[in-house]
Amino acid sequence: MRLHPRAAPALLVLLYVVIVCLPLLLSWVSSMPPRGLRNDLASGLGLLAFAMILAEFVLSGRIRAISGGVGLDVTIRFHQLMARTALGFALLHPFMYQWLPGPARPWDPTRQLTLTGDFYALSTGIMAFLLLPAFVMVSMKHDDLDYKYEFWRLTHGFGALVIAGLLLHHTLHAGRYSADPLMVWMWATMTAIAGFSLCFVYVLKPVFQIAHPWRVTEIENLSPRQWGVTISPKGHAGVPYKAGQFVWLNIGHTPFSVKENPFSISSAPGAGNEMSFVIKELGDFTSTLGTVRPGTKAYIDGPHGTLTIDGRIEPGIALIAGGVGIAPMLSIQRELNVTNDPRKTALIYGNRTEDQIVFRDEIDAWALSDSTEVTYVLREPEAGWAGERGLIDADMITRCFDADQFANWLFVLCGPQAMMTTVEEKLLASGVTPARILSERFQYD
Amino acid sequence: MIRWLRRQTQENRVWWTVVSVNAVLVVTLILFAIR
Repeated sequence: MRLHPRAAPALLVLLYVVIVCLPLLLSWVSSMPPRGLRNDLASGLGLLAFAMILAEFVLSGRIRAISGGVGLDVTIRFHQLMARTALGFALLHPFMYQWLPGPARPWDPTRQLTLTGDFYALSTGIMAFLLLPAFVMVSMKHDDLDYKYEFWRLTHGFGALVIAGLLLHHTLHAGRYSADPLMVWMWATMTAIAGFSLCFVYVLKPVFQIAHPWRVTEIENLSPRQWGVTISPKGHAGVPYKAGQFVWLNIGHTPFSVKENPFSISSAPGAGNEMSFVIKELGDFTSTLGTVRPGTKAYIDGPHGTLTIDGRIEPGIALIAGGVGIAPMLSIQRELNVTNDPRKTALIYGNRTEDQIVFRDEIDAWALSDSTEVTYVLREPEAGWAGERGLIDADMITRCFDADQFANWLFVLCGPQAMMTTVEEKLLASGVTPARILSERFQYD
Repeated sequence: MIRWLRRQTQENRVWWTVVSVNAVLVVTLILFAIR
């Protein structure tokens, strides 16, 4: 069953709310009598925070049933923002209690008037309380911290698992509502699902990848810091993908390694079962691409992403790319050419300098056809540059498109955050409906 | 409201979705605490 594009996000959000509120709702209908506003607020905050933390695992688990409808970039952004709420709830939780912890009282079997004082039960909560803010802060600032992407991924997954374990122990041993057998089962199930989503990415997917290896067939230096990489399936038929999608690519490491990064596919699916990429050196593994030789083993996880024009019936397609954001646009335009799609396209391709333009000859050849218009934009052009200058901004969008294009065309965007926001705002202000704007921000953490 | 939300950029749509979800969670929490 395929959901309507507008129904998928609403349904996923509704599902998220129901799952996160489930512990609260089960506590509500349990046989435990209430114990006053402050104490139940405190308990409720703890229940919500733990459920949200467990849901974070699934949101970041590259599970296509979840991200397929809304885009992995949107799912991950939701994951990042909800983590802040979960942190706020978790930090408020102990301070909302009205009473001090004390010993168990035999005349209060439902602990209506007692907060547990058991150090064994509280210690794991205290540890999680101390770890969680540090964990979220490091996650929010990891781009600015000087350590490798692979180290970040490993510590993020392992750290989250440790915190979830501590919270499970604390919830089951200190929690009043969570002492109910139904709640114990629910927490065990939710934690198992969270653990499984981690296991899915770090164990099950690699096992599948071992049986479906790829091999680097070509690697070329496209510009001073950009590489073209082509891989071919080895012993299998490859994977079906749509033009504009991306995969997590691992070159030269075991599939159980975390040394994999997301890269947009630049080849046309209709051209064969090989996959090509345009990769920019950004540090970590990307800086070592120059040492990769043809024949090196590679593994992929994917395809992912919703930046595709499959099923779109707009009369024209605008492809707006900044820097390495050209990769999905190459894939889309190449696919249109391979399938002899007669629709008109307009490519706006921005870079800092002229030598950063990749596949110039191929793109220039497109520009010679009647169906494709190409606009190169350089931020720091040399003297004599005849193309556009500056950034891809609102003024440039106004110059490049007319009212008919704003009213009817599909706009596909991929590039740096600032460019994406500026262009998206301009397109919306020019009357382009959100359904006709496809965008992907290439930061997936 | 939904029509207005659909006119926002993708980042704004995610932000407003998060704000709405948080509002639902807080209301549910308060209802639980005052039951």
